[in-house]
This record gives sequence, C-alpha cells and structure tokens, in this order.
Amino acid sequence: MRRWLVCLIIALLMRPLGAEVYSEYVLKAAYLYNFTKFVEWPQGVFPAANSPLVICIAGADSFGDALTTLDGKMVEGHPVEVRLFFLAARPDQCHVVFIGRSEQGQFKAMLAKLARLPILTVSDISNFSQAGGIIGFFEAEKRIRFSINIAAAEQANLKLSSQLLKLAVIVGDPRRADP
Amino acid sequence: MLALVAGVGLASQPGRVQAAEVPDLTYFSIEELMQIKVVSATKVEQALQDIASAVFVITADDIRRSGVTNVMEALRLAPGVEVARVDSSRWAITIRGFNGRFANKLLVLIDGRSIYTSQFSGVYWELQDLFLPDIERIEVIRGPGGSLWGANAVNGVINIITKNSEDTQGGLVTLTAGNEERAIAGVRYGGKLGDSTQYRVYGQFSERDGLATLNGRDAGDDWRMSKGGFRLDWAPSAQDKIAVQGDRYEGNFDQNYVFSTLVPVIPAVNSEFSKKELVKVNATGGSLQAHWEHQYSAASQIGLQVYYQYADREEPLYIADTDTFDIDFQHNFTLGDRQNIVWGLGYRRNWDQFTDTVLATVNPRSATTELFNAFVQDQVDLIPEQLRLTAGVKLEHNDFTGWEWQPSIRMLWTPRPNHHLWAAISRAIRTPSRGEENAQTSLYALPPSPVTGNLPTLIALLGNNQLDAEKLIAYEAGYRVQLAGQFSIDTTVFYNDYDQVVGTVLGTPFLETGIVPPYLVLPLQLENAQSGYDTGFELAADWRPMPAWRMQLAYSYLHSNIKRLDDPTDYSFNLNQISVLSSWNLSNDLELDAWGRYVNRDGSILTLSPFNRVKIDPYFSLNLRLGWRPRKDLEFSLAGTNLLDGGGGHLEYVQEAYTFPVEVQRSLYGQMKWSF
Repeated sequence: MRRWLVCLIIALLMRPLGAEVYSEYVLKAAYLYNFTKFVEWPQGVFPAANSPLVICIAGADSFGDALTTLDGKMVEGHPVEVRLFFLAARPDQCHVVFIGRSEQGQFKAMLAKLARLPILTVSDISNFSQAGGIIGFFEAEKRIRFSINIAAAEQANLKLSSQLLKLAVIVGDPRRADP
Repeated sequence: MLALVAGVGLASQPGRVQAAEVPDLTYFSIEELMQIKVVSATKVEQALQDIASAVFVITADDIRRSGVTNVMEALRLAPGVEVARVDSSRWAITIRGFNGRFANKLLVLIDGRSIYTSQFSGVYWELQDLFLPDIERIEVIRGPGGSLWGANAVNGVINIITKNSEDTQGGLVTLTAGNEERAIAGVRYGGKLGDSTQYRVYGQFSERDGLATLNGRDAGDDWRMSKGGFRLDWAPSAQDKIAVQGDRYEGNFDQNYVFSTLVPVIPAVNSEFSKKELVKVNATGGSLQAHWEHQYSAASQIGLQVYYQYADREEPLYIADTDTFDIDFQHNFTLGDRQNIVWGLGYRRNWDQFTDTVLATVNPRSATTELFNAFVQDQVDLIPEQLRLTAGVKLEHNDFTGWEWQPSIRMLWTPRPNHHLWAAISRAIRTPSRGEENAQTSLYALPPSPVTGNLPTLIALLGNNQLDAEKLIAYEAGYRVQLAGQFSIDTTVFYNDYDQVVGTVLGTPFLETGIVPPYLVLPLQLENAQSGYDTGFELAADWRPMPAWRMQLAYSYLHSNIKRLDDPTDYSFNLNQISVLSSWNLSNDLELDAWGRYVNRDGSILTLSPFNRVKIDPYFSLNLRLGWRPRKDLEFSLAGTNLLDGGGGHLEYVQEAYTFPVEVQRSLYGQMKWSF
C-alpha cells in the first residue's frame, strides 16, 4: 500500500507531462513496452512461465540508446529481451517486431512473411496499419499516436485488450475479410 | 520550468549525444505517453529525402557549433552557396554564380516573408543580423524555385525558419565579446497566455569592429545593429494554428565610399579624381506578419499569410523609403491516393520614395508597383514509393514586364529505400528592379587625357525602363543515399542556360557643359545584353564515425561562362569551394568543433570602379570552437574565426562600385548563454 502511495506521489509530481519534450524514440520505446501489457499471445508461444518476451528491431536502428530503458523489465513474469531482427534465427522467435522507417520499401514483403505468425508488428512507416501491419505510429500535434488494424491482429491470432483499442485509431473493419 | 527549457534545448539538437542519460518513460501509462510531446529529428530529413531538388538544411545545432555570430557566415556551410564578406557589414551572397554585393538572382525569406529590397532585387545582408537562438533551421534550395516561390527565385531560395514560441519558453541571456565581435548582447523571454497560446519577446544589440585595408590599416567600417521583436503562437483549435510576429531594427554603419570628383582632389596633382570617405549609413525598418493554417482533414489544408514591412535607408548612394504589403493564400490537398496538389494566389504592393543624392537620381522619385501571381503544382506517384512526378507552373504579372510564366517538371526515382535519384527542368525569370529601370548613378571619374580633349570624364550608369525580364532554363539532376544512419551523401549537377541577363553597354560619350568645369560623360546603359551558361557540381556528405563525432563536408564547383553582347572578352571563371565541419563531443559537457574552408576563384571580379578587375587569391580559413556546459542552463564557449590570418587578413570580395577592397581579419571571442 505504501509503495503504491509513493508511486502515486511520484506520478503526481511528474504531472506537467504535457509540457515535457522527449526525443521521439525514447517515447516509442516506452510505447513498445506498454503495448506488450495489453496483448495476449496464443498458448504455447511462451515455452515457460519465465521465458523471455522478445522484441525484435528490423531495419536501421533508430532507437539508439532508447532501448536500454527496457533492460530488465518484466511483463507478466516474462523478462523483456531486445534483439536485432536479422540476428534472430527464426522470425517466430520474436513476439514483437518493430519495423524501422529504413524498411519503407520492403515492409510489405516482411509483413507477408510474418502474417499468421503470432507476432505483434509495430512500425512508424506511414500508413503501416492500413497496409496490413498491426500497430502504426503517427505524429499529430507533436505527440505520438497509434492506429491499430484489428483484422491484422486477428489474423496473427493476437488478442488486444479493449483498453488499448479505446486509445487507438482503428483502421480496417474486422467484419470484413481483409485482403 | 528549468528542466523544461533545458529539455527543449537539448532535444532540438539532433546532433547532440545524450547517451549518458536516457529518460525512462516505461513507467508511464499509454494515456500518459499520448500526452508527451516529441521533437522528431528525422521528420525534416525524411521529408527532404523525397524532394526532387537540391536542398540543404542548416540546423540550429550546425549554427551553434560552427561558431558563427550571424546568419551570413552560417550560410557558408551549404554547398552551392558562395558567401564572401565584402567589408565589415557588407556581404556578397549568391547560389550558383552571379555573385556581388548587389547579387539579384536569389530569393531570401524569413518565415515566408521576402526580405529582398525592390531597389535592386537583392538583399541588404547587413540588416539581417538575426538573433541566432531563435532560428530553428535554414533551408537552402539551389536551383530555380520560380514555379513555387515566383520571380527572383532564379538561382535559389534561402528560407530562414524561426522557432515556434512553444520551443522558446523561459528566459535566455546571451553575451558575446571579442576583438572583432566587440559586443553582442541578446535577451529573450517566452511565456504562456492561457493553454493554447505561447509568446516570446527578444532584443539584441551588436557592435562589430571594422576590417582592414590592403595595407593593414583599420578600414574604420564599424557597424552597430539593434533589433527587437516578438512572436505569438496560438492554436485556437486542434485544426487551427495562428502565428503573429513582428520586429524592428535600427542599423548604424560606417561604410567606405569612393566618390568621383570632377575637379582634382589635390589641385596641384592633376591625376586623382576620386576620393575615399568614411560615411554614416542609417537604416531602420520593421515588419508585422500573421500566418494562419487550417487543417480540414489529413488530406486538405489551407494557409493564409499577410505581412507588411517598411525599410528606410539613408546613404550617399541613395535615400529611400520602401513599404511592402503582401498577401498569400495556399491550398494543399490530396486527390485519390496518388496525387498531392498545391495551388495558391498572391498579391504584393510596393511603395517607394527616393530622394536625389550626389551619386544617384531616380525618376520618377516615387512609385507604386503591384504584383499578382497564381500557381499550381501537382505531385503524382506514378509508381507508389518508387517513381514520383512533380509538375508545376506559376503565372505572375508585374508592372515592369507584364505577364511571366515559370514552369518546372521534376522526377524522383527511388530504386531502393534510401537511394534517391532525381532530375528537373525549369524555367525561371528575374524581373527588373526600380533601380535598374529608373536610376541614374555616377560611378567614377577619370582624369583628363588627350583622348578626351583634356576634359575629366565621368562614367555614369543609366537605368533603362525598356528592360525585359532575365530568363533561365535550368537542367538539374541529383543522387542522394543514406547508408545505415551513419553516412549520407547528396550530389547534384546542373547546367543553367541564361538569356537576356542585364548588363552594361557602352553608350555614346557626350559633353556636359551645364556645370563648370565642363566634363565628358561616358554612359554605361543597362541592357538585356548578356547570355551564357553556368554549370557545376555540388556535394554534401554527412558522416558520424562515432556517436560523439560528426563530420560534414560540402564541396562546390562552378564554371561560369557569361558573354556580353559586342564584347569578345572572356569573363569565364571557375570557383572551387570546400568546407569541412567537425563537431566532436569530448565528454557530456565539452564540445570541440573545427571548421576548415578553402576557396579558390580563378578569373577576376569585374567592378565598375577605377579598380576595374580585382583578383581574389585562393584562401584557406580555419575556425575553432570550444564549448562547455557546466550546467544544463549554462553554456560557455570560446571561438576563433579566420585563425590562419595572422598579421593581415584575406580578401574575399570587392563591391561592384563605389568602394575599395578590404580584408577579413582574425577574430577571437567568448560567449555565454544562460537560460532561466
């Protein structure tokens, strides 16, 4: 209880958030971590209760040191691990794949390869979710927002919590079979 | 509040390494993350990659680390730009040739407001002593921008963009002192008026020492500028943005003049018919502008800009007051998912009032001129993400030459991500200025000789109200590649074909007997008398060998071959310029920067003065800067410019007329910046 109070006080002290300015990728790293809390992967994706949750980064690394903030973080008992995508032996070793802007030309081919695998695809390439990715970042009013393609998530067999969907701009209609 | 200011300062400097401390935002919820503002360093660069023209951006960080104290010197960082300091306060700046203090083929904008003077369609650079911490970036566009920006964007456009008031909250005090930059003091304060409105006010005073004459003496051409202004940014709704800004300046310059005299300066020595004099130049001016942007949807937005500016100037060459009113409208929308269309309308009205001086008369003394324009540009993705075609045209009506049209067609090919190839053909024009049309000026006098019947001769420059617009067809191509985030290279070739460029033609000499003693007048008449070509190659490379070290290289080659009607003389020349800026973070709070430049111009600069042709020796210049940031709100730096100029200095340029060559000297200064 006391710990909870401390957290609350810290959070209150840091309130003037709207005014604070951070570099884009520090923020995106925090988003990536937060997304994982609202995604339910199908059974069997994690071999053990404490196997790592792997976030893979595809393309030129734009994060720099921003990903170090994810070191040692836990999600539902799974330690977070960040890997470069091309170093992962098989794509299905990744639970989240972030596709960098440098992959603008290839990302559709990548998505085709990852389709139906239980992988959360995230990118800041423009119109990413419209093109079949699951979560796409976009910038509005100097803030980072995101859009979600529900059909793509369903195809990947991932369950996204309604809490997350509420905050996102939804693209694609789940009732319509998305090509 | 402190943290906020420091945060903005740091974040807006993409070159700065913040490895030591990455803020951990993972503790925030998604709702909270959605409220955080970001600065995206990549946004501008990303967009620039997709432009089918030669663009270079000088960032706020580049300006800071190059150790310069004014915008003019910062422009030396860009390839294709020729910056030459003429004397303490005067600069000759151009893009792709035709340089001179009265260079007139370049359009310069501050937040969309054109700062060229209608007197000679060039820029009084001495008045552009801007408050550097307010500048967000300078976009340098080489090649014609006529189809978007209109007349006078012949060889290029320089667009100086200042920061949003949101990014300049809190207080800032800057102080600079040195042997040449004697004192520059600036103050800025930014605050909020309610939730959606921010503002800033600033003031700056500067005093700079004169340069040196060729024999090493003080040229005496000191200059003083004071400047103040404000900017207000208001977002009345999520779809609307309004910016209102204004500023006022007052300049006081000592400038060297060479006056022609029609009697010997020293009566006993009948050879010297011109005298040097240090004169006071006073200039005041101001501007007020408003800009409104409305977003209908992600696919459609409009912008409306209105400004008024005035400039009053008093010097021996002319005494003139100018007022300008300008209104521009722009609409940007997407058509289907492959086309992006921009169209717009503009109107400008210019009033001026000249007073006769010993050197110049303008007839009529007062005039009102108007300019109307309309433009449309369509960008079509022929093959999405691979092949893009941009075609546009601007129609303009001006009071000197009537209707003019300026089309351009551009193609961008992206064979692979991060590899961009582009090519463009455009037509641009430059319309004559009031000075060229209506002014008559006395250039210089020659002593009596038997050829002139032992009479002194006055060389006079005569305006011509029958001048036609200068015309350019430009062919350009470029290739840029970004490799793995650490290395990028941008190359451009161009061939500019000019026609009907304004130049002087020798008229018939006549005897002027109205005044005693009588003298012979040799008139130089302005005509559309020149044509020819400029061609060249430009390269910009950016390399980060280590996170803490960045190197920027700019190389430009220009070959100019402009011929004059009825004049077989070869005026062609080659200009080679190299600039290397190294920015190195020694530690978290120490920066060491070095900037070397080499300039080699063969062929001489032609002047309309007794000096006739002046040769500029190749020169190498070195700037060093050491910056120390003991606290987030405090920065000290020591800088030296032109360090290789030991005893004397080096000559960079000479004004076309009325003055003599002076040399740029070594300058050492210290600087302090405190934010609160």
